[in-house]
Amino acid sequence: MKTKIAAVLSSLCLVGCFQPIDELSDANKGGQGGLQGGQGGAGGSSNNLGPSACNGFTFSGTEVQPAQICICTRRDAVPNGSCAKGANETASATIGAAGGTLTLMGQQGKASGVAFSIEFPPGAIATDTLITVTETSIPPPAGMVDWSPVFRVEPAELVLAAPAKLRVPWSQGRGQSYGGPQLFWSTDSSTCTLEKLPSSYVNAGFNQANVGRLGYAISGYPNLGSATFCN
Amino acid sequence: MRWFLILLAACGPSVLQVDAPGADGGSAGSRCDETAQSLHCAHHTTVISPGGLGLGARGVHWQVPLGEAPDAGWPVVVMFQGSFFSADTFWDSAPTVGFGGWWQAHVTRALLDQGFAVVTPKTRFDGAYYWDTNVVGFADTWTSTDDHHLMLKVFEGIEAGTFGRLSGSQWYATGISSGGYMTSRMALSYPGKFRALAVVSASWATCSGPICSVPATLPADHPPTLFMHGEKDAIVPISTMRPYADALTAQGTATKVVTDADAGHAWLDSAPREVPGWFKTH
Repeated sequence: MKTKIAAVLSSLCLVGCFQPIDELSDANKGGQGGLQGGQGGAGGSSNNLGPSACNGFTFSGTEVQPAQICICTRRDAVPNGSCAKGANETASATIGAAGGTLTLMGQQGKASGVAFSIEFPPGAIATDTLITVTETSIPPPAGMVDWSPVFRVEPAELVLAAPAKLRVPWSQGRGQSYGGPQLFWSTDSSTCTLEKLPSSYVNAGFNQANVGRLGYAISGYPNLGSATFCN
Repeated sequence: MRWFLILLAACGPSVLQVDAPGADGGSAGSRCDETAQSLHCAHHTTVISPGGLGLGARGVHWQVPLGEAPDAGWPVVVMFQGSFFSADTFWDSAPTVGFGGWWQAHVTRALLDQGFAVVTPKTRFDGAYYWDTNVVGFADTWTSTDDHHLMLKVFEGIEAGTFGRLSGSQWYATGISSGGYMTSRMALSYPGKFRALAVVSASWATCSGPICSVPATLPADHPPTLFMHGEKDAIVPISTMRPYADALTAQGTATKVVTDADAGHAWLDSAPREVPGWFKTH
């Protein structure tokens, strides 16, 4: 019964409470802000985007499943497999108290058939705020099997008054299964520290979860050494 | 369109036909018009209010073959869309459409041209969503879901002639990705309804992409099932399909597996031949 009530409330809100989707088309602003990726698999990253920029990510978690064959990674200049690399495409929308949705198809969306999206319920943001999502070219954090590019949603430090629904597209592997990807997101205390979202849900081609702030997102899982990347 | 459907859900009848012009069109010998750059199959649209959780009305596109229906009515194929790819794409496509969308529309055409009626319900939000079959919280409480109530209305519609004069017993289902899982759901939750299934780029009803656990015991009356899968599928790994197919084979259910070494998460180019062929033999 609880599930049913929750589903009703959630869906009623999706249908009846949000204002019509406020969506801007993708705009490739290649290299906006001079993004500079980290070096060859080290996982570090740097950029000059201001206070929300991260000079490398940290994260924690347990390995899901050792890989049996090599898998692709976005650390490679040309990934050997189904790893769609970010090209710094961005989309922006002004979201206010009425809520709304921001989407970005990007490179991963085209590969997965699912756009990146973040859906703000009414009241999540008190005043009109320009929200920007970027499918970055930042390499994935060291020690992570990446299933998506790193996405940045700005203003990265913005704390929401109500959780937003995040959807991140992914693809990985070469027709093999390596367990399910988890959705990592900036922690409450640090934009550049990522943690698995407890509400993360996986479906064919995307993760979904609720987030209480803006920041960075990536779909993947920790690699404690048994995953072998294709070279 | 979305707001129109919501309004209908709140105020309108539970079933309403809203055909566009040319709903019975098509070229000589086919409901479909095809050029090198496009394929369009004329169709009707009926809007259904599923009831259940009351999450909104659904558009259901449908068409029957040209000619007179058999005495028992046309055999019917229910086709389930993939996530975020509206059921509209079963009826209009182009060679450039991703995920084998061109071949998906050719499956629609092949079915119609070979004597099958086609019914394509949409997911919630006018097709811009996915099926509930494998969603946490819904997968194990299926009869509470909006999609279950939609299916009951679709079944009622087939039997009542809402979608043309259809057979009461020759029912088939197919779909890709989320729609492939939904196809499998027909075996799990509606025993005896369907004669055969074709699962494309998917696996068991409750699996989700790489996360997949096929039950040790499958329904004994599971319909004969055709599996079609690209070996380079990076969304629903082919390795999640094989245990399902193997389990059906082991229990004596007729099964056929068609793979493509070069294909990813997509309708295979052989689908317009394989899907009608499989259904004709069951």
